[in-house]
Amino acid sequence: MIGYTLKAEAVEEVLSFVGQFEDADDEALELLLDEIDNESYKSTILDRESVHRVVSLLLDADSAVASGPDVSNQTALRVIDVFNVPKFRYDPVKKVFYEHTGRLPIHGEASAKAALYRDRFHLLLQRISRDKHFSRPVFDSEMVDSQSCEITSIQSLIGSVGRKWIMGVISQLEDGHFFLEDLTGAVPVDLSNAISLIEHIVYIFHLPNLIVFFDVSHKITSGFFVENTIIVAEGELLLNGVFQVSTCGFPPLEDREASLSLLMGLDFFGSGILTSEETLRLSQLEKKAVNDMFVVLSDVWVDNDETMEKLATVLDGYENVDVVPSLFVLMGNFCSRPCNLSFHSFSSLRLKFTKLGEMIGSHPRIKEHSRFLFIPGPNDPGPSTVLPRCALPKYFTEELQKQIPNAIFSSNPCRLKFCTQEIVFFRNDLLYRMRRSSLIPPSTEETSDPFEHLVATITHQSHLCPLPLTVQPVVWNYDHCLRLYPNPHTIVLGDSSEQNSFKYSGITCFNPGSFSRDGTFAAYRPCTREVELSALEGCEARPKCGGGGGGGNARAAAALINPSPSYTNRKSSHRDDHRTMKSEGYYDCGQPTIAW
Amino acid sequence: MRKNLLKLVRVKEFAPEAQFRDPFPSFTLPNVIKPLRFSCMVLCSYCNDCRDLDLSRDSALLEQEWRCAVPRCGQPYDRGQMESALLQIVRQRERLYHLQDLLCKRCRGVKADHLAEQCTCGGSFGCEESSADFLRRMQVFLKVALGQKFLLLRDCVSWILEGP
Repeated sequence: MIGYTLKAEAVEEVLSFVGQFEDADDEALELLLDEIDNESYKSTILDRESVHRVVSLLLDADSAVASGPDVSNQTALRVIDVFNVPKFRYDPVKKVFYEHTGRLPIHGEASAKAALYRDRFHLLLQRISRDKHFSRPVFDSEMVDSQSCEITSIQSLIGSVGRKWIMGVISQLEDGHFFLEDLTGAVPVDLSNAISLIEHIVYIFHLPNLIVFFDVSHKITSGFFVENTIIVAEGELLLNGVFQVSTCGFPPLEDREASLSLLMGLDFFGSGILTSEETLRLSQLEKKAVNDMFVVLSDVWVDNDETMEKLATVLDGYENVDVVPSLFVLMGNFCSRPCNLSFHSFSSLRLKFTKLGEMIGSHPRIKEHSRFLFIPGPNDPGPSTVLPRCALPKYFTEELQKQIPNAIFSSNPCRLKFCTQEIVFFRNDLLYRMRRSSLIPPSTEETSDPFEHLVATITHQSHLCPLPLTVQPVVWNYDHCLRLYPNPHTIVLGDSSEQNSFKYSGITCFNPGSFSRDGTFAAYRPCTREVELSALEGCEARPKCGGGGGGGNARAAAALINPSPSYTNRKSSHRDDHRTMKSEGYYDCGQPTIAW
Repeated sequence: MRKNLLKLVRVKEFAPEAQFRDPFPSFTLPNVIKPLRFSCMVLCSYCNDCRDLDLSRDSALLEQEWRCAVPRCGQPYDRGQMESALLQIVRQRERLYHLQDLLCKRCRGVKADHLAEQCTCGGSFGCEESSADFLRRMQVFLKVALGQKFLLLRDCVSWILEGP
């Protein structure tokens, strides 16, 4: 590296260049430095001329690429069928992720099922090891014992005394008896004694960095405590071999940037690795894409006349706007009746898909400029009900594909990369199923909105569907397709429950609601990551359950931090990034905070 | 026993009809040769006749049009219903594969733990229904789908057999 000396005007030139890339100024500076290195200068003193030359070179290159709308469109929006996502496994010895190359059969061997659970566990264990409250202290000091909550393996609990922290999968290994299971073993647990909030305030004075919040009536943290979720618990091993839990909750979240810095060069999302130049160009594109909009509809019953009329209304509406949406996402179920023994008119369903293609085709601007993404629902016809679910069979979609070349048929879940933004789509009636499978009613301390509990659960578990495998079977070798690691920017959960949206710890999450039942859908602006929950006029909104604000944008706004009375010391800001509590409390995740 | 049974159906013991012919090649598993039996019950909607449709033995059946076997009825079975029924069986079997018990190869105990890689007795685990067996069963469905031109069934079973 040569050291450069800059003249005053040169500094201004550099600043004006870097200032054009607000969020990516580091990358812009690096790029500039690379280019300057490439040029050969007589001396190391740079004046305005030389910098200006390099800057205009870069900007020209940038605009030349960006000017072609089709090219930029194509590279900007990438749909990733989840079966194509590379599989990464964690090596606990080398402490790195490595890519699994080689065959991944749908019908795996018995070892694949254990590997599924172990991989899920490793993912969260390596994440928690970086959390400052659970990591092993590097230097010995008197403060260590009182502050560190190092995770103990269950095997080493035997013969140990005193309070220990363990991390394990909630398992019902015997009927009615719950265990926590980790990589080394299992221990029966007793959750009935988790301490109350009042008592814990005394406790926290000994641990100034650990602030614990509990719901007094339920003594647990937010989220759905479902069998097979991974929790962290503090307690003591009793003489009868039972681990008595005093406090427990989900493993703390990790910032997307922190995860990415560890995974440098590994394509966890499946969209390919971008060079720094491409990243820069795409982030520019993303910021300029103010008019880009994705319209998301879930439960589009093509065999129901009313639904098709509603859909026609929506398409008519968007056909006539100035800039048509760049993407329409149509999620299942596409049939009003589930694909079971009583349903046998597949040929008529195929005709309905063709009619849908005709309907889309009758809107020329949309047909020309918008992409259509079809994601199958849980009850749509197909080879299996196991997740991940493959795209709709060609039997239904052949005709539509011919009519609408811009149509893409993808898996459920499905990933989308828009410039540098990572969006995950998942169609499953998760809310209802999580509530049913929850072992304890969710805590009402921070929120009573079940959707928010759901978002908290899937983000902390880094998994789209942490239900027991007996409730929702998963293809053993393809569990990595359901991962949410590193945290994506946006998660779209198609659910038959009422439409909702929630921003949690920098992740935007929304449910467009059931289009066929409620006439609701959602419009998403990727540039600003804004969600507009919409409904067709004349459609009856279902009575709202629990807390939360009113419909439409009000709900999205209300979902931003509302400081709750317990956070008197913390200032919350109504920004995307809900980082609060920098120095106090180890849960830096936004509110409603699962702080504990 | 074979001699007695053949006597009952009045076929000479060494007549060609008495020869056992397995229509499908048998897979040699270690020390075991397992031919596949596959049949389903079909109800005729016209005459309410209930019959067993043996799809693994009757190779001719795979190609021809399926009709009620009662001589006076002879109505063809509804194709939509047949395809749907077969698809449901495929979906159910696929789901069951992923829900099956894992058995210890040594002590034949059912696996209870989730993360354990080995049984407490030290043996490793195997599937109750191996993937090879499962895929062989699916092959039968594929043959039926191709023979009867059930396009949706063919698409679905192909995905199961070939993968993503």
